[in-house]
Amino acid sequence: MTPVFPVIHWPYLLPVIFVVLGAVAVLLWDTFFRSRDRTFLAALTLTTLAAAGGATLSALPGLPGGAVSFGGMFVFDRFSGFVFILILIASFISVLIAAAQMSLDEAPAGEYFALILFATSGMMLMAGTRNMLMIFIGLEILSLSLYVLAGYLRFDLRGNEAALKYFLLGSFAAGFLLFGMAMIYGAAGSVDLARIASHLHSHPLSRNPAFMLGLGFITVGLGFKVAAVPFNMWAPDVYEGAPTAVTAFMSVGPKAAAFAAFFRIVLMVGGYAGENFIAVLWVMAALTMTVGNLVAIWQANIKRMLAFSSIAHAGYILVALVAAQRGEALATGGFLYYLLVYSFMNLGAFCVVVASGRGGEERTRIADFAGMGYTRPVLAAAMAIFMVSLAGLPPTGGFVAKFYIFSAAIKAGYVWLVVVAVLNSVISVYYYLRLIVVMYMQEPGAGVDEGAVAGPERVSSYAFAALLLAVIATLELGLFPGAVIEFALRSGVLLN
Amino acid sequence: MDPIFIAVFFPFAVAVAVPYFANRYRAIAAWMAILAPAVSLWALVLLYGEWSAAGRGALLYSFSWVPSAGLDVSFLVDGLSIMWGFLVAGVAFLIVLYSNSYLHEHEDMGRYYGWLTAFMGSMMGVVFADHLLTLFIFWELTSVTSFFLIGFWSDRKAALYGSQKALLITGGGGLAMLAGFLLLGQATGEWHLSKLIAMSGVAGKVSLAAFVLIILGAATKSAQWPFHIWLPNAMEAPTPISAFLHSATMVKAGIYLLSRFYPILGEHPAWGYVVIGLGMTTMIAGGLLSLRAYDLKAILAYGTISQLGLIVTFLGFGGREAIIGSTLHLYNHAAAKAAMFMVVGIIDHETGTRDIRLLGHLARRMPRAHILAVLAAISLIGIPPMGGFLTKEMLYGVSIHPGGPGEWAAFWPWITLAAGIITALYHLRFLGGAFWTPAEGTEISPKPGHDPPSTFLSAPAILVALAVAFGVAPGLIENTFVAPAAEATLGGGVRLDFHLTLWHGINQPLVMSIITVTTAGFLYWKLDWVSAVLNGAAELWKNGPGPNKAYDGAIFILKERTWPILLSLQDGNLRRYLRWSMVVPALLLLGVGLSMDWGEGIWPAFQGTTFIGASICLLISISAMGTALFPGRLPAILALGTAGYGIASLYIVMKAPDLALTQIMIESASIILFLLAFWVLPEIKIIPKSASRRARDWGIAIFLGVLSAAGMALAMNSHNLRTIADYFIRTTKPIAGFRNVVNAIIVDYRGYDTLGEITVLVISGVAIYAMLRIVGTMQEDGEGH
Repeated sequence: MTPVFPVIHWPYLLPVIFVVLGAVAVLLWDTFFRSRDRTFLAALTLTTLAAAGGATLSALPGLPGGAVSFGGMFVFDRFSGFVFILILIASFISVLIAAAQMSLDEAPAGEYFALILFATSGMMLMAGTRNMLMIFIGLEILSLSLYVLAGYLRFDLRGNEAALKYFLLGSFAAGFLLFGMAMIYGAAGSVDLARIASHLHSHPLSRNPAFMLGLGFITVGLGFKVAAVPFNMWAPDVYEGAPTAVTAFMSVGPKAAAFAAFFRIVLMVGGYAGENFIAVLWVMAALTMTVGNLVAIWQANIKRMLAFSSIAHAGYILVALVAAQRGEALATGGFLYYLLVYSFMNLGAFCVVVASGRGGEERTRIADFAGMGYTRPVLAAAMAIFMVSLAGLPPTGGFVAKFYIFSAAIKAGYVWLVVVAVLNSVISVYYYLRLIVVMYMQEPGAGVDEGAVAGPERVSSYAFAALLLAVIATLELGLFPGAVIEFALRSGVLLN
Repeated sequence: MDPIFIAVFFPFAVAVAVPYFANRYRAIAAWMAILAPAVSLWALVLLYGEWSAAGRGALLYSFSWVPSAGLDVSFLVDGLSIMWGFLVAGVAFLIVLYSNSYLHEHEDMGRYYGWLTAFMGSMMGVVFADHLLTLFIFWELTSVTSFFLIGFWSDRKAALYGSQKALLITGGGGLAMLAGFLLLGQATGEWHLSKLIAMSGVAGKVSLAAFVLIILGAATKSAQWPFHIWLPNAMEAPTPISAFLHSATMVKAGIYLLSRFYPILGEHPAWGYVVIGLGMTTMIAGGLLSLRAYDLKAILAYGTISQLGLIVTFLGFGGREAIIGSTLHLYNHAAAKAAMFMVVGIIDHETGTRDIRLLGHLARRMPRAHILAVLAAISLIGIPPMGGFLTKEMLYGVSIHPGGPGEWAAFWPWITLAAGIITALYHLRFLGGAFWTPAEGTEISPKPGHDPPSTFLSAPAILVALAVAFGVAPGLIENTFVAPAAEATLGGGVRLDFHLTLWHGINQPLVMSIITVTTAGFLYWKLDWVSAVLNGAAELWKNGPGPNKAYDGAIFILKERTWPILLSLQDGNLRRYLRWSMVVPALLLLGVGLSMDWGEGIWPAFQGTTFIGASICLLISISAMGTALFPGRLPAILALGTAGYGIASLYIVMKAPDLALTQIMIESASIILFLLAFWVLPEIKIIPKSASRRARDWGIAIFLGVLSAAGMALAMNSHNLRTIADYFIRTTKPIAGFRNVVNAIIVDYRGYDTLGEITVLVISGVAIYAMLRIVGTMQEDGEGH
């Protein structure tokens, strides 16, 4: 009797395998050759991520519509491919930022990088599957790693508080998600989105309240992960309390993965939920943008401000989701492009926060940035570019990305949602530009180190590399978006 | 590179460069800044040549940016935009020239000239933009840059208030305009102004909402009543900025928008009512408010509002005469008003005040400034030989034979005449207060004042000379600028051929002009009466509603009422977070659930419930409650374990021994881990809660529990599922060679799963062993943290 193996397309699995093996390697290396030097481990992590990226890129060209492994547990289509690349880039920059953050020197390095890699593998699994259970498992791999990372500085009280809050609220979210999946399983008899869709298609009766409630619970669970209002409350506290390098990581990759899963679920089965479900997403998008931006205005701490700003950006992405739900092809591509731009500009902004710290001390009050345009011109100029892009002003990537999402929403007929979105963008200009004003128009406050003014500006080489990447990408995606846009649009077609 | 790109983008380049140099080399700041309008003007001259050579039609310059989204940066050059370009760049040139004398040595020149040139670039963008979104972006850029200009003296509270007010009102209006653009674009499928103008019947396709939203953009920017309130507060800006923003640029952007959309929306049935209504109300209201102001700049500010109302009225009437009139008046007003602002700046600079109650008899001490002010004022009053006379006559003429809604036509001449009289009166009051009459009280201006050096006077002098030229020799501009601009505004390929002259013989408009001047003269003689009437009216209305009160009230509600609530939701209290996170989704889902058809309801799911099953469920529920309620941690952990074992027993009852086995192992492992972990953690402290809080928390818990249970029960209703059991029962023997189906599933069908589960259990065992060792060493060390 020969064993029956499921169909597995190994080449397409390689990216994930690389990341997991890399994580194990980092962990083992750290266990057997304990050293205080983080450089080697950082290099190993970066190499792993680069290798995974290379594997993804080399798998893409010959790709047919997509490749299904393990009976739908792992799906590699152009959509997964794009999200993989995006997640790997985000992790790559996050590792650079972490290497640049001095306060992390005190903490064990091996686990840190291993956790980042494990979290990355979780994100990739979330994005590259059409099986709800796999989405859940990916989410858990990701979340458990992040809970630990958030409290990574063990003797930092705020970090501990952040980790605990994140854990508790995150567990509830996971509970909601699982509950929702169970209900949908009950209604449609499968955990595979493709099968659920075909079942719903042929059995109109199964589009019952159980299915609706299940989809609603899933929306709540994923809403937590992407920090959409009203499930956003953990985000500012956790972003503020966690080490900045972790915050940077947390604000991008996990969001991308959760949104990728969200898109897949909504695009594959959301269509059977009717108008009510769209209305829920619509309201969520509008609320998320508005609350995020209105509260961001009042923040005095830059990490908190960026937390609310990232909430607002989740709202813009939800606009794309609403449009995509209506079958607007531009929306999914626009969403991917938006995520890419968002990764660069947000990570860049956090990187400036990390790099502007002195010694082990962080400078996270907005007032700390006063006069930075003169004391640290390189960092300030980079920050200004990221702020302009986050605000969605030309000639940066932020503008093109927003333009794509908004025009997709208009094409799908959501003019009023776009009006809300644009209104919000204009509100956001206020607080993003305020930081530029603070940096360039205010005198440096007391306690600014004179050394920085007199001598040449010092930026750690890791931070510099991260900033260089982010700045170039932010501008490139704004000035010459053509090729990447085409790539994103082609990747916006899901394998059904 | 095409000159148009230089004209629009060069000012921005200067804006970026100036701050770096200006504060280091103060002497060259102004000369650097003046490069922006100078180079733009030069580019415009080139452009004018190109455009003339191409037959004075509409030229398009575009640069494709993101082709797949149809996004391009494109500029439309026609008679209207090129006239505006010259107006903006020309006035900017004079303003920078004037600023050099006006600014004190210690001011932050980099910031001043940086924002000034950036503003100028944005204005150029507004007037040349072809794509609606490009227009919007530049439009909002003018709002943002003017915010920084108005609030330039950021240590003054009033300046901050004024700049914020301007930004909120004009920026908000811009957003309304964008909403209108989006609706317009959606209705017509076209985003380029050039194409929209060429299209016929656009007005018929546009909804009233879109129309009103676009007009709102223009009305807020052009300070039309009741949005005029930002303009007087914006007078906190340095005077050259006021002159720039409020003579030729910022406020005129609304006029530009109306002119630009005249060929697109002019046919809309609401155009006449809305635009004439706005214009006339503003014209009268601005004039009356001006009569009550004492600050010279405020008088001019309200005067500007009134004049903008006049131009809007022209556009509302529509038709050949009115459009030519509005175009010509743009020039007259820009020249005269900028000159008057500059004279006020000189008075302020030389005497230290702008209050007409403190100023007196400046005509003697500042004769040259006096002459300039008088000439500018009489142009706006409409006395020959100034350019203003021409346009005033045209307006009177148009008001007698107006376009627009016919049923109100009888009123137009009278309202226009009243507005003309008021205009003349406040200008006389301006001149009288500053130059002719003595100071009112004993208190007088800080400095006596005298004429400034010629360089300071040069910019207003040039403007006044232009104002005279427009009247004496209108031929200078009528065919070069006015006619093409009016042609472009009228649209439809109209070609105008006209010749303006001051003297038209004795006709109705001339009679109206004579009435205007004589009545205004009489009222100025009896100014006390006028003031008494106005003050009495203001006193009566003191507690009534008004636009300023509405604005301040809205800001108050936003700042003091709304934000505290939003911020208090995010106070770091974990319980609150949890509560919100539970309640909101529950309500949301309840709403969704209730709106649907529940079919057979939840009861079918409970059919076939056995006694033993129900008992186990009850046990699980009680244990779960115990976990939450027991005070000590050991009982809580045990209760949790009981719940877990209860679930395992349910699996047994449901005939799933493999699941039950796994569940029991996992449960045992986690209880051990829990106990180990709690061993080293401090004792839990339970903070007593008030009864009402407990009730609320219970309520939330029960509500959510019931909702979830109902959802699950519904989920179990689906009858249309096939069971997988048949497959296994049928195939176990032939494929796997087993008789026990469960065994076959565990070791064969799902062999790898089992291997995985065993591996996980082994790893957990190792982890438990590791923890035991850690606990052991910690106890030896005597440490407990």
